[in-house]
Amino acid sequence: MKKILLLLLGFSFLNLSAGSLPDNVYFRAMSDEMQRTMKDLRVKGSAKPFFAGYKLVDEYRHIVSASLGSKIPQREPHNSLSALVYVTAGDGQENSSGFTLASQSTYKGEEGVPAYSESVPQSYEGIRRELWKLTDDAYIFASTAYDQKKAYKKRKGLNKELPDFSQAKKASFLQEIPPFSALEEGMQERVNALSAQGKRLPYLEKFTVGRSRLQQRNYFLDSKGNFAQYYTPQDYLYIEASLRLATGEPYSFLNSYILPQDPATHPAQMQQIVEKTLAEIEKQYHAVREKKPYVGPVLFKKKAAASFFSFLFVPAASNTKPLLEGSDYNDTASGYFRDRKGMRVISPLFDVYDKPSLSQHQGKTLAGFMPVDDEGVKAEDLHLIQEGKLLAFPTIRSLVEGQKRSNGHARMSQVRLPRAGVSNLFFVPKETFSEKEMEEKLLQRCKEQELEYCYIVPSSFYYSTDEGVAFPKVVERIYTKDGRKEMVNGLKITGASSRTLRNILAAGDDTDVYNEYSKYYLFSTVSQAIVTPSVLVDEIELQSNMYIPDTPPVVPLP
Amino acid sequence: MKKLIFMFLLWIPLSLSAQGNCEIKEQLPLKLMKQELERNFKILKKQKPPIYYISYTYTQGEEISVKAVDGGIRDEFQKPVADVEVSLRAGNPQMDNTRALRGEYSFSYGLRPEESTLSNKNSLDFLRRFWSETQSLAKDAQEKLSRVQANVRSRAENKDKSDDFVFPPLSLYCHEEPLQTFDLQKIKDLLVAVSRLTIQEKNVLKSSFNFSVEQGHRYFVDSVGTQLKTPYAYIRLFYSLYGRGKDGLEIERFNDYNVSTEKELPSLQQLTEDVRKSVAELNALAQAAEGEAANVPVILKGRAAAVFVHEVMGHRLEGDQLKDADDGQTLSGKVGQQVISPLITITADPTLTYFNGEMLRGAYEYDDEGVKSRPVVLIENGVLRNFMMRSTPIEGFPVSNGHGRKERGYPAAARMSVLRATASETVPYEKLEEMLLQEIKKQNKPFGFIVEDLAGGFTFTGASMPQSFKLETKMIYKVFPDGRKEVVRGLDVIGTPLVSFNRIIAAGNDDTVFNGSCGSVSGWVPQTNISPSLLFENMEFQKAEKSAFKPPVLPAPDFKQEEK
Repeated sequence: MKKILLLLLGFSFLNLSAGSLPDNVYFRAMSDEMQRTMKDLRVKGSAKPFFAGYKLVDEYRHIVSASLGSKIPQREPHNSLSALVYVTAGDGQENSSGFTLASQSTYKGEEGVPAYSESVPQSYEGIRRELWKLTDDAYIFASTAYDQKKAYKKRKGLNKELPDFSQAKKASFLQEIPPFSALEEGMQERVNALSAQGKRLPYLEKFTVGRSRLQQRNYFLDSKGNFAQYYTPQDYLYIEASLRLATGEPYSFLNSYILPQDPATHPAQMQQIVEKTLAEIEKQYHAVREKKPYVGPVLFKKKAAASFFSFLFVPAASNTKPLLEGSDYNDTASGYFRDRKGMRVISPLFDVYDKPSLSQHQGKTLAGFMPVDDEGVKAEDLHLIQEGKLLAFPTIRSLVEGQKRSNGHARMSQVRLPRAGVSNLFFVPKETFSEKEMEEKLLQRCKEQELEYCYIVPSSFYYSTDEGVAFPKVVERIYTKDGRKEMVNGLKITGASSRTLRNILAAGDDTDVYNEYSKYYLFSTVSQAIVTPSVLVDEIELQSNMYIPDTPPVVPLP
Repeated sequence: MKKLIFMFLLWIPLSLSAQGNCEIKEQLPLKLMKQELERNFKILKKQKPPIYYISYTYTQGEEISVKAVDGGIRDEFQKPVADVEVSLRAGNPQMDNTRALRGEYSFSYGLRPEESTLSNKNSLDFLRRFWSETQSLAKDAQEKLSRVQANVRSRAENKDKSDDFVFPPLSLYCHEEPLQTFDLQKIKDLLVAVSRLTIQEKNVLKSSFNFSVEQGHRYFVDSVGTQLKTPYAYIRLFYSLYGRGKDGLEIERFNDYNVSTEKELPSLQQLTEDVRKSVAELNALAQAAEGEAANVPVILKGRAAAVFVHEVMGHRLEGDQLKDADDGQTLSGKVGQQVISPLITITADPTLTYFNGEMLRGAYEYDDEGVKSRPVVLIENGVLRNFMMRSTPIEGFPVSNGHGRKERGYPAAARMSVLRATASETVPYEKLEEMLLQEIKKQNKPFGFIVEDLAGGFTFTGASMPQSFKLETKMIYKVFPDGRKEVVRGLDVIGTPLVSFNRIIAAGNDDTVFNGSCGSVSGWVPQTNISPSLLFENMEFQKAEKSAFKPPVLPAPDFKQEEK
């Protein structure tokens, strides 16, 4: 541990001023290799490199966890340095960006690996050599893609395209990075004790409480001289439980909770979270299996509301410049906001903002913090939606119709070239209601529709946007007649689309921050925050998930 | 059943005679595992179909890994290990769920085991992990058994009529060793220092310098009553250097040091010398002419011969290969017959812990099915005698000889341990080279080969494919009739096992150890091969596959020049 702290001190900066590159090993290595790349990297007869972006991410982690009072082995505090390299070949008007073969949406490096390395040596020479090899991979791909793109555009007669690389003002951002602090002494004992509280529910087969501290340090430099150095701290508590419901059906629970940046509040918060989770699990234990379909209003509570927006809003707002895929139908999954400016795309109750400039909200880290985007453009805060109507959408340097410049929302991951993405989404309702009022509104709507009962989704869920399907583990049924509630499982949401966003009827007064990895960037480390209240949505369809559980175990729990 | 009981009784006295250095009754994990196993077994054995055998394994220890590249640490970790594993069988020993399904593709893959740390104060989670795994696997096994039964009824009869299982003998054994501590900073400094040696080498595209430790104890109990605690320790330093020619051909040098303690690790001076030698070899390979397809006399030098014996014959001597009807079963029905050159004897001996002062990774006291290890003569002067067996019999070999092995998270399979090839007559290596020249001349060949280093390529053992092998040469010399040698590159050794092993005409007296890990059906297992250099009358070589990529367009950064 001492070792890590010492290293970190060596890498922190004093008297930082945006404008000149920081004098540290990361920027020295990136800058030196960048100069060589832009000056000398050429394949005779192929297009020259036009733009290159280097991103180094140094991630520090410390995790401790326990189940039912027993420690689960974890690694000591550690860090890993990864590198992403993006190169385009051609020129500002037309270059290799935005084109990929239909069967291949990644760099085609050796061994099929993208221009990405997940573990880079922590030395100047090591970083240089890694960047050298990654740049070569990226450039070979880019020069090939450039030739293919030109041929494809000729075949399709696509001659009047907007420029592939629009100009932008110089951007830089420099943040002093504090040393990474490992979790506090005694944290292992604390999570042991917290997880031991699971023993009070005798049916819990596993009750894991984990405490995780991460610090992600980002170092970005591009060939136009834009750069950024910033970090994102993340403090989480996660809880995982396995049990069999009262019906004998296997059931698993997994949730993570952002802890505020002030560690003094953590012990009380962690205790509170564990108690609430156990109470929640106790309720879920009595869930009954339901097969009957349902169409009607659904209340998405708290984290479920974040999943709802992640499921339906984020894809519409992302990837707003479709890729040319070398086929007749290009990138059908790209975000449709690109041609809907001025149209109502969500309920008029909401204004929506995307604020990459914010690193925290009400003391909680925002995972989408991004001062400069992955094409070296200052990331602008956007007012996306006003009273339900689309005002703006995230864009990148490669322009779309009606757009004059990038607003700095290019996001890159291990398997994606920089594409338009969201960062910290704020869903701000015009009017809010208490939890009780939200449930009353739900019941009111049920009565209007003459439904015997309605549903509440209480926690986050998995989804498939392409298929319009989502899988809440349990939902809560609330009866119209007397407000009685019971937990139900075995249902999935079907037939949902971005159109569903227009059906939001009301919002709660419980706005909170929910950080998540964006599913749309498959396998990526691109993270985003969704700041939202609970939402009541009309016309959601639920039907049986067709899952058939095993019979219960024949041997009772020890 | 009578037969089973008899064998069981016969084995007990042998197994109980082992001496350890600790008391089983004082081992908390064993006590709890036994208690939970018995509680589960009591009920599950009465189910229809019954679960008739259960074993629990708990691995407690630590893993350490340090990787240095280009003068910096690339990755390092130190992590405790506390893995819970369950194995069980549904049906009865004559037919159970583990039988391969004829005509159906099945592939066993590893799953990360559940983890739980046991303390004197808290055993609930530990017990629940075993319980949970047992319940889930019991259902899987019962379902699989019904598929096996349907498969047996509807598919062609299997020639091998042996049972699916033989109960392992009851063993009680407790052996513990203190976990070693390491001066990791010193080791990191060593790795970082040697990793700097390759930074400016123009032919080294990638390099990696690694130190790894896996150490701890394995606790094992089963429904027969066996209780074992055995230590394990694998300490290894290794490095690899890669390059790529303009034609896309990849070249590689590798070296490793398997030791018992930190003190035995190579010094900076020794490591520096070895790395420099490897760099020189890589440079020679980079300059070397591409080899051409040929069928010529060849020497496989010690290490290469050890790899060859492992890949080409070793896998075919694993008992499981003869159980599965979909397997090629190269050696089926050949017990007592001469199958390879009469010069060669092959043994598997997991009790051999050192050879010529070198630690052997493939050694162990008990296998992963709780059976005591013992030496087995597999091929004696070219005549097939035995197979490496686990608790799954094959015709003529009804009991395990302690070769059930697996990586954590995988089901066990019959696997190699310390595989040793010896020759009834040997000559000094220099003499072997003279014999090679004579053979080249005798056959009127323009050249022969000396293979110094081979990497595992692949060897087909399935019945649907030819029983052939292809091994990549990593360091090979072309030898002319006048004794001149030149490095060549880009050649693979190809052939079939029975033909090639019958072409061995002489062996050196230079027994060489090759320690490694072998990846196969039951995951990666530590393994050792020992062989003298072998002279083959002839062997076939073909051109190796090349990468589609050139070396990088720009040369590597020249740090010395930049400093100026």
